Amino acid sequence: MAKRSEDKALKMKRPHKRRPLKTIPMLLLLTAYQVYMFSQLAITNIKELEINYTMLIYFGVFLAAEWVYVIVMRAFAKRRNFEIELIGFLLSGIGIAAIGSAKPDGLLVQTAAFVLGLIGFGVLVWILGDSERAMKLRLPLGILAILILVANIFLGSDINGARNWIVIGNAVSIQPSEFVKVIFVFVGAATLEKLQTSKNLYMFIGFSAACVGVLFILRDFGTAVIFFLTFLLIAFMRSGDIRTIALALASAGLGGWLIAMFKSTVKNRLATWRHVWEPELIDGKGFQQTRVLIGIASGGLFGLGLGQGNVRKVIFSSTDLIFGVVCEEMGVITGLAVLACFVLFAVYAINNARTSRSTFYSIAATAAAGLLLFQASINIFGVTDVIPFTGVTLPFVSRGGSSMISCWALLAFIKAGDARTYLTTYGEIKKK
Amino acid sequence: MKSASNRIKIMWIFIALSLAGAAFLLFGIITQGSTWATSSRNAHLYLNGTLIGAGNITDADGNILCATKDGSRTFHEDSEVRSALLHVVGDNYGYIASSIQNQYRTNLSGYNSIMGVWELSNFEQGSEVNLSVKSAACKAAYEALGGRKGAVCVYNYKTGAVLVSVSTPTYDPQNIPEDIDDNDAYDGVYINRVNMGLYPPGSTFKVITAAAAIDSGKGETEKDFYCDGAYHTSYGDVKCMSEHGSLQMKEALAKSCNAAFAEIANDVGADALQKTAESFGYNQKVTLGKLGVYTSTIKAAKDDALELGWAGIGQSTTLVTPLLQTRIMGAIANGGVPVEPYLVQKVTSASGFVQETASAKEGKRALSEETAREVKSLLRNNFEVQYGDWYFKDGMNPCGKSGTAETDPDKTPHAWFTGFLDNEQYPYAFAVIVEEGGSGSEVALPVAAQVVGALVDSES
Repeated sequence: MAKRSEDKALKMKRPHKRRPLKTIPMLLLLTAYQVYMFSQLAITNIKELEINYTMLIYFGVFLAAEWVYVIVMRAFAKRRNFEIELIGFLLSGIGIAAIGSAKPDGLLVQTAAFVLGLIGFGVLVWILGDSERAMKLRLPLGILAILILVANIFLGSDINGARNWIVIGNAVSIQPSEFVKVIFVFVGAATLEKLQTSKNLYMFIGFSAACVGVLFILRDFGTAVIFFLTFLLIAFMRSGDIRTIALALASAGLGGWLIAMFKSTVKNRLATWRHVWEPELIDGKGFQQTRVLIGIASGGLFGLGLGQGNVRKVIFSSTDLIFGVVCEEMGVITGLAVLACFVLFAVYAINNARTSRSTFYSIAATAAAGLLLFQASINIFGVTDVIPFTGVTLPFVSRGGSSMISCWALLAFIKAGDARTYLTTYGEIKKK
Repeated sequence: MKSASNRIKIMWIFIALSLAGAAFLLFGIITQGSTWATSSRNAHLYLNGTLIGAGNITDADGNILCATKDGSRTFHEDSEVRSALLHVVGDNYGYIASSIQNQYRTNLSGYNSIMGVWELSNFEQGSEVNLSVKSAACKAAYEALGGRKGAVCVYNYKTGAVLVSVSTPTYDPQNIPEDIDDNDAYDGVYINRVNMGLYPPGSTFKVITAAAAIDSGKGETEKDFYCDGAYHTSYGDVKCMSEHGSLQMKEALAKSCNAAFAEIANDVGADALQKTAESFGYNQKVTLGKLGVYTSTIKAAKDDALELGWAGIGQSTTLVTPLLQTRIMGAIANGGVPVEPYLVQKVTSASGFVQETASAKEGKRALSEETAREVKSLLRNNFEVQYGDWYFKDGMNPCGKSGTAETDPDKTPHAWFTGFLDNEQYPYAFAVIVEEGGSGSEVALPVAAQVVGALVDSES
């Protein structure tokens, strides 16, 4: 008994110390894997040595961005641990490869978004380094989020049945709801950290309801579900007193409202679910799921090689169905690795919670990791008919500039939740 | 706020849910992957509904029975071989349901659960399915049947390899007759009679009645029977072909005396007779790889001496497939334990990886070694005293039993012959049926002798 409590005390006292993975060898290994994947696409004919130089440029920029980021962060920010970034690189690289196969035209935007996302990630990690600074941004960002969404209602264009796009000029179209995700996590965590007043709580509930409501108007069912799940997660982490009741009621209300509003969509999806192979659905409402499953089975464990699949020819292959492209061309193993990456993010967030500087960081990290895991699961299991199909994209992997940037921004919360991020090599909290 | 960091642990539930989803998906891939991959919607495998690069089907000697050439399926060069093996190999339209082309489509297509369709996309050819049949002997069987309806099945009772499997009527899949759906000559042409034809066994069933009698321990082998042309019961008579007079079981089997065997069936009893039949594979699922085999059935009447008498001589309601007849003979030849028949010997992927190989697999023991030896000596005696060894080469030690199965009083009965060679070098068990052929020993035995002779010749 005495020994046990002693053990426990030891455990509590022990400083959080984990040996960082050796970054450079890991990055070399990752680069080798990415070069192997990219070369399958860039070298169109190995005997004649025909090379697609445009692709080569994109892949080159992508690889260079990874190395520049790591070198700069080691040299100037004295960072020593890069696990989060390496997992992000792995996912983004798999996405770039799959898009190179499914929709090569999308590579320019995807690569540019990756570079922007990485820069945004760096900036956001820096902003989060000072919680005072971060807190000041809470209200303006919350208002900004609502404004963005409202602007979306009026300026939005219908693309693929959902109105969640804003087209600027002819060339640039952005998906505002992607950025609202980031703000949602930020505002949620920041509001709840200093939750001594009910006002804060009701503000957050109101904010969540506004977000989900606008998404309904935009007919973006998938994103609404993700927001709702993330809201539940944040609410749960905060609850534990009288306000639990308010949160529970709000949750139930929001959930019911969501289902009622999307009734016909939900009914439709449920009717198709687990019936996709039936003759009247196989080429209709089950078209995408069956083609993904055929692709997964055809790819086997190791895949057919990039550019060799058939899922890539199906509509939405580079967005909703990218998981099918990954499995068919890079194998079920890669598909499972993709899911494992999101699980790793979540495990990271949980483990770092203990040593986080404040609950703001741990809640933000967990909410961000949770959001990514929800979205990845809803996508992966939706297209494979494990759960009803919902049109959401696979974070980091699916084609989409807004999405890529927002995913890296979410990653910044996880990174900020890791206490080591703001330590110098000498093991001290970095002073401003 | 310590509670918040504790509550973060709820994430483990979400992680567990995701992993459960992954496990569910993996389970689906493992159990249903081949169904998904071979869906006609899979453009890797199909072009306009036909397999793009289906692998070869070859016989035991490596002869190509079916191959893909320029995007279409072509068959063996010899029209008679094509016709003889139609039901085994299959056609191009899926009419022959229980065929290799149909049932081994997954393998032929080039899909396998680990590599997906990688083999096909790299070698442009699916796996080769190598069969145990010998096309030359099958052709001999087709010729021996001489246009009559029926079936011939021969298998190696030591290894289980099916060497001959021919069903008639048949047609040349490369030259489909125009009147195939109207002409009575093609009645039931799409059915493989070897594993899906159900016939009354007739006198061949006396082998099972004899086995049941030996096992009964009631001294049936020493009992004297008297045949006055029929076995009399209070319900009516089981008629015999002639008046055999006084005789014992051994002689009764050689002369195929109905009166004696109807009496034996009643001595042994319905339960024992049924039990013996079931131990041989009646009312049991018999397998032939992925090909469907109809279940042979028996229901020995309990309180009806007449019906039981008829059952004892293989009439009544009993029905059997030629494949099971062959397996029954195999069980007796192999000391009481049947070796399960197989048709697919080996499946090899285009890259040379062996995906499947057949091996001798013993089924449930049908009868004790001693009973098997006794039954074997009875069947050997049949040739020595009744049919004559001259049908086969010297030293083959043929054993067997003929049958003439009545179906309809207005029609000629089906001719059966079931048997085996008690020979280490040529361990063949066989069954032949000629529909409406007449006498088993006069019609079916020569067919069996011709086919087995061709097999022996090809081996020596």
